[in-house]
Amino acid sequence: MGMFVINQRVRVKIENPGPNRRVPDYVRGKLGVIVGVHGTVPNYSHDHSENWGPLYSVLFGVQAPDSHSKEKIIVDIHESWLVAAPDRNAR
Amino acid sequence: MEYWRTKRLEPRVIRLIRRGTIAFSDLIQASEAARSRVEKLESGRDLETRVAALEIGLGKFVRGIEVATSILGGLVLVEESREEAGVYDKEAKLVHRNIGGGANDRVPQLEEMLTGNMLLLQALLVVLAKNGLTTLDKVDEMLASSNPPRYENGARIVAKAWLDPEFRSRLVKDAKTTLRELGFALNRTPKLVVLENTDTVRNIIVCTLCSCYPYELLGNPPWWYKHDSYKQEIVTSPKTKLKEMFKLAVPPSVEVRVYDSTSDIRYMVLPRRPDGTEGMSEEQLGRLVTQESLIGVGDPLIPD
Repeated sequence: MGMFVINQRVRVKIENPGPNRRVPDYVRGKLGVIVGVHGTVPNYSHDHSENWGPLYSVLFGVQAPDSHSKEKIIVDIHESWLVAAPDRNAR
Repeated sequence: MEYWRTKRLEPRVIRLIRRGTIAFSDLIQASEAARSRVEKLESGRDLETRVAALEIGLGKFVRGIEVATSILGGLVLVEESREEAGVYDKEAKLVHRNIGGGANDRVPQLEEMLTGNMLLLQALLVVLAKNGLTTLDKVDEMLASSNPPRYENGARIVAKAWLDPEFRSRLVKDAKTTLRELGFALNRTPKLVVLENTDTVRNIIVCTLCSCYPYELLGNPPWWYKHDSYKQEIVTSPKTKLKEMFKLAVPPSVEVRVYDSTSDIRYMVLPRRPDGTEGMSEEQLGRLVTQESLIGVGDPLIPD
């Protein structure tokens, strides 16, 4: 369907030349893990008129966790904003 | 009314005809049955009463379109598109009927328009029932229940999920399809995901970029949802924010997941069922569900 699969590590680009500007600053450049693969979601309420491609839910840690840090952020990001990141254990 | 006629009802009827799902002749044949299903707007009452009746009639018209959509939504994909609405092609655009004059002139014209629109709507519903997509009994049931956007819709859905594990699992798997069966058309919600709270996971929703929220289902969010202090702090240090702003202490063993609705997905939280609620009815359970618990920053009420 799309480029990425569940549990794949990805990095968010810092800038994207495409029309989609909807990536919050706090995840730009950050490493995350794919936790949801949604494909292309038809959006007929025209929040955006172009087709922005496959959509993923990406899991990140939070910036200022409390001491036990069981806190996560999931952000919905389109494929064009993501690049595959090397596996943690890859040499 | 014109918006609903030109952007919602007629384009769909035309599209259904184009696709061969229904035929023009079906609608004509259904007109007698449709006529019996449309309330006559009695004239001769005072202006204020007639205007109030028009408003109620418009609500019924909108509700009827929602019901028709929810019937179609599960089986035939009828989504409005800009092409069908004639946004790009002047030739495809449905002309608006402008009516003028003072109130005394406009009211009878509006009454005529509403009656005509309702006839078309009811003819469509009759045809859909005739084609086996639904039954008129189910249609009347859905028409009678109104689903304006309000958080009580969410409370009702949560209560149902607490009582019915099969519904719950379908809801979590595919919320939109499952909710269409309850008569929620959800045409303006691209994708809806219901997030289940467990004893080890607590979910919270936010939209840091603007104020995305499942408006169509739940109505307006609370005032603080759109506030920068919530938006910025809930994604930076969620457990701290929950304690400071919502007086909610989350134990170390529980993971907090904040979902930032940055794109086409809208979220609703399915909170955990409180203890001591055995034997309660769906309605009683629904009254325990708060708006905050649907966003994830609070828990449902505990019964006395």
